[in-house]
Amino acid sequence: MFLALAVLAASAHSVRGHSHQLDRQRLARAEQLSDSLREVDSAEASRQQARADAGDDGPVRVIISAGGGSARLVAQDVWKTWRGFGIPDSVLSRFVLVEEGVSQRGATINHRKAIIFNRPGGLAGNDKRFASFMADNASWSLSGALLDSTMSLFLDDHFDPRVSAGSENALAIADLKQGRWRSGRRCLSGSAADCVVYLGIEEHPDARVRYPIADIRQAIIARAVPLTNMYKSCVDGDDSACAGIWREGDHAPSNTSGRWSFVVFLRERYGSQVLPSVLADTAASVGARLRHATGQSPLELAAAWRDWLLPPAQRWPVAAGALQAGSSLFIVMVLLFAAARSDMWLD
Amino acid sequence: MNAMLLEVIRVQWTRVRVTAVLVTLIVFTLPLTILRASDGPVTDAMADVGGWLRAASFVGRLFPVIAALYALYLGAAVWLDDMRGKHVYALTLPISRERYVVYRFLAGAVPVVLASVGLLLGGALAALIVHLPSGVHAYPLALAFRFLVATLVCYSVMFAVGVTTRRAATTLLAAIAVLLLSQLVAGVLDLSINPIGRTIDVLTRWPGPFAILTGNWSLFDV
Repeated sequence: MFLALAVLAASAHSVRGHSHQLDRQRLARAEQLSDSLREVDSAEASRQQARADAGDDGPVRVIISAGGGSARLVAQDVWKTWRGFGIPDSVLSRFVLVEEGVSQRGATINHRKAIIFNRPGGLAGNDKRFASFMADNASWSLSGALLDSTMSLFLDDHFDPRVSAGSENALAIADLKQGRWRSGRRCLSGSAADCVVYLGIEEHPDARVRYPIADIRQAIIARAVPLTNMYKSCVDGDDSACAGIWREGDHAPSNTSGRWSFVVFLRERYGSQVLPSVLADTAASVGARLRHATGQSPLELAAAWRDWLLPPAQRWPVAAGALQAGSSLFIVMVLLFAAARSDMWLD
Repeated sequence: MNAMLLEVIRVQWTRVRVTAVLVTLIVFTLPLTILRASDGPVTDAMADVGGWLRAASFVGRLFPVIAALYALYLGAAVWLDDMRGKHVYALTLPISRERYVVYRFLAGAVPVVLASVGLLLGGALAALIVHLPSGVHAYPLALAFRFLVATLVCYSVMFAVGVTTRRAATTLLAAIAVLLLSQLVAGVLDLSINPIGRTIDVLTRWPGPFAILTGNWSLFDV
């Protein structure tokens, strides 16, 4: 029915421009139907708001549409996830997580800041698995609110608290291998000082060191897209144009996985209290915050991260395992046996 | 060693030696070409290790292709003389057919071992030349062993096909025809199945027989 109403409403809109050729009665009818459609939408939204399900577990409060899952389970999952990163309850209790499209008016917010999150791709259910999907999205949105401007810049606006070495290290290594920036290439070659720059954990960041002009030029040439005037100027030798393209924003040269991998390393090496300490710190640079939180210099941390990242990363070893080699040689033996027993000579 | 086996090996080597030496040289040289990926001197502590890793990954993709093609050639060449002579020579020998087949197999496998040794030496030489930082490793032995096993598997298949009976060959061809036909039918009827792709997946993914051909073939890696 909605589809029919929508079609009629659309036709009302299209006929408006040619009303002098159309029947007035038909136009009035279409507009009437368009109004009806708006009323139906409004009533549906009201019902949705009335059915909002609010739930909490510990300090975390979640509001989702009723029938769309258990808010308490989602809150439980979010609390557990962030507790794993040492985020104190007092911080978590400052927010209320609200599913997009659900009104907050029906629920008690108690001066909490509302964080809107999306429902994952039309899913619905009441089990823990569904709650886990919802909690992923809620945690993702919450991470944006937990980060101040320095950490938001460092972690690219958000941080997924469910990341692990298994999920991020391979991507971090892939970026190191790609070697787009001098710091990354030299970090892979063993220079801890360059790992500091690559990760963007300097105490005194310098965009000129992070992004050398030659690398910027190379990166632009490597882009398979038509060049704008600024890009052309850079390629043609204008260093200031190159600097203007890459050095704004002050991001670290590493990819997001590299920095997330570093956060996972910090938690593994220094415990779950590191991230809250870094977030609570007001120092302007990530490097200074890390020094305060861990007692180690960024140079020591970057060197330790590199050592931690590389050895366990060979997910697909070159060496054929005993099982694979054994089964391959077994196949060889079976085929040889079959060949030896062949009746070809009798054909 | 058995004199007859040595003679079979000698005859077989005479037939394939040009290709065998060529392939051995190629697989010996390929690891050394990886070193050209770095801009600076290869012994430089701050050399572009990422360049080597990328080059090793690229060159690594060539090894399974070489292994499969080389095995195809050796598997076909090993029975060529017997087929031309309609197996009369084999039947006149004073040994059992089973033993003769094993001799033939070993004769055909010698060039495989030779190429693997060539790859091992080339990889080891490349690993000795470069200065690899901590956390980055060279895998010459693992790579050569993977090459040896992969080539032997493919060679065994070709070897077995070469000595198969007419009925078995017909069955094999019929199976391939059915596969092609089902792919065609699936395409015409717009079905969401891909029989050829699925078969390749089964064969090349663990525990498939050709899983050894896929995976990591990089001389240098983390």
